[in-house]
Amino acid sequence: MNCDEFNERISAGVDGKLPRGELETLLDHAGRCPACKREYEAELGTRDILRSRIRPATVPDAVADSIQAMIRREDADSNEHPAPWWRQLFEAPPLKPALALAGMAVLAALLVRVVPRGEAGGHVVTADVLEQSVSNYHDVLLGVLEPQLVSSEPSRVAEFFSGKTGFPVVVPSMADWTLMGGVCTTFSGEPLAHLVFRRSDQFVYVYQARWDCVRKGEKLCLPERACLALERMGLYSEQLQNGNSIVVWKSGRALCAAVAPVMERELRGYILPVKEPVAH
Amino acid sequence: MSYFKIHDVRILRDGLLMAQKSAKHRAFEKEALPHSSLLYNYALRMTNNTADAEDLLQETFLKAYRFWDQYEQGTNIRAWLFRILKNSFINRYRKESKEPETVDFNDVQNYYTALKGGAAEKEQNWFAGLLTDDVAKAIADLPDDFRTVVILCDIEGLTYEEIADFVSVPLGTVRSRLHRGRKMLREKLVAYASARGYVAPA
Repeated sequence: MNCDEFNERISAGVDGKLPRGELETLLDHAGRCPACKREYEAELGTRDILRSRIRPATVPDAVADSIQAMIRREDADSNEHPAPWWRQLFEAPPLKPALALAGMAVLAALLVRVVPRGEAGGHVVTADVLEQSVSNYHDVLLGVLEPQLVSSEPSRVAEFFSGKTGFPVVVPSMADWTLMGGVCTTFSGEPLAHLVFRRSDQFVYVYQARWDCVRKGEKLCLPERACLALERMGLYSEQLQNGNSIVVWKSGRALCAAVAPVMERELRGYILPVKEPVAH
Repeated sequence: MSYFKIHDVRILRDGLLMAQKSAKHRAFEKEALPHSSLLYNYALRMTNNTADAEDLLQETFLKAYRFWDQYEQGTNIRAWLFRILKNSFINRYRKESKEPETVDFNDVQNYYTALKGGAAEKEQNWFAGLLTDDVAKAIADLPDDFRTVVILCDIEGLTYEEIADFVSVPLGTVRSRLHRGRKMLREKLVAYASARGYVAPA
């Protein structure tokens, strides 16, 4: 190794980025060449002074906040994202706590939930009905999933879906929850119905798909535990984080899933007030 | 209210903010914003000035947000953001950039002469006398190409491979720029130390 070659490799040598053999050659040369040895030591010293004197700085909170504000302004200017539909409908002071609660639920969900596989336009693309339901519930809270029909009249909402879904959409009566509206979408060509209910500052989201499609696990699927429970008891439920829960049940040709910010037991009570599963 | 445990006010505030965010905003927050520290430190060392660094960071994120649809998912987001920052820096400061401060060559000579007889102790001594500001100034005075790799390697702790990706040069160029950058930096530091009387002229 000559001095030029030494100089080409010196930084990598100092930083421990050379393969062992090359490092040995480098140090051999330094042992024989005093000038290069000084150079090596100087480089090491300079690197160390840099690393010890210059500590990475943290972004000031005020700057982080102003970046958030800036993004918000951008969104407002671009006008692509109007306020969530339920906010437009209920722009009243009592809704403020709803925002906080919804926000916290979403925040917590983002922190604890497994990141969904792939996303398109804010909608989670996964075949799992449970995951889709939970994700859509959060999209409702965020205003991403907007209604095509706003109505509190169950017959009107049912009528809206007829001919669109290929299966009769069930509009469950959810005790003291008020129907707000619905939207029809497709997933891999499979029609889906979505309903939203509201009670003061909380929301229940109901997902519906063709049971046949889910049962066969073609385009949509359910975890095995849910399939088994559905076959045996016609109902499956799960307690989620943060006091949310999900209930899945069959109704005619539809598979329904409800997600709500209430405990599992309470939600089951809304869906099947009478027909509690019978023990075998 | 009973369904959520409120740990502190910040979670509540974040929750409130979160509820109003668009899908794009959330994606950006997840993908881009976590790298603000990396960008900020680079901006800080390039401008050697917190106010300018803050402006540069905001400008970078604003551009990144506007052109978010042009970011190719799955590619190196850090490199993408870094290039936006670097271009912003160049556009903003190139026009007004002054000639880099030159090092008095005599000081350097003096240092080497002083060191020649020298012990490692002397090294320690002149290092110890330097202020963090001196080091920051020395970095800020390096030519752009060299300080970029020095900042990315020695302050940001990036790998050579990632630096090569960031600045779009071969690995060998990263190595040589790093060596030359550190060498220039050292010369500046020696000059400062000498000016402060920490290095005894021969």
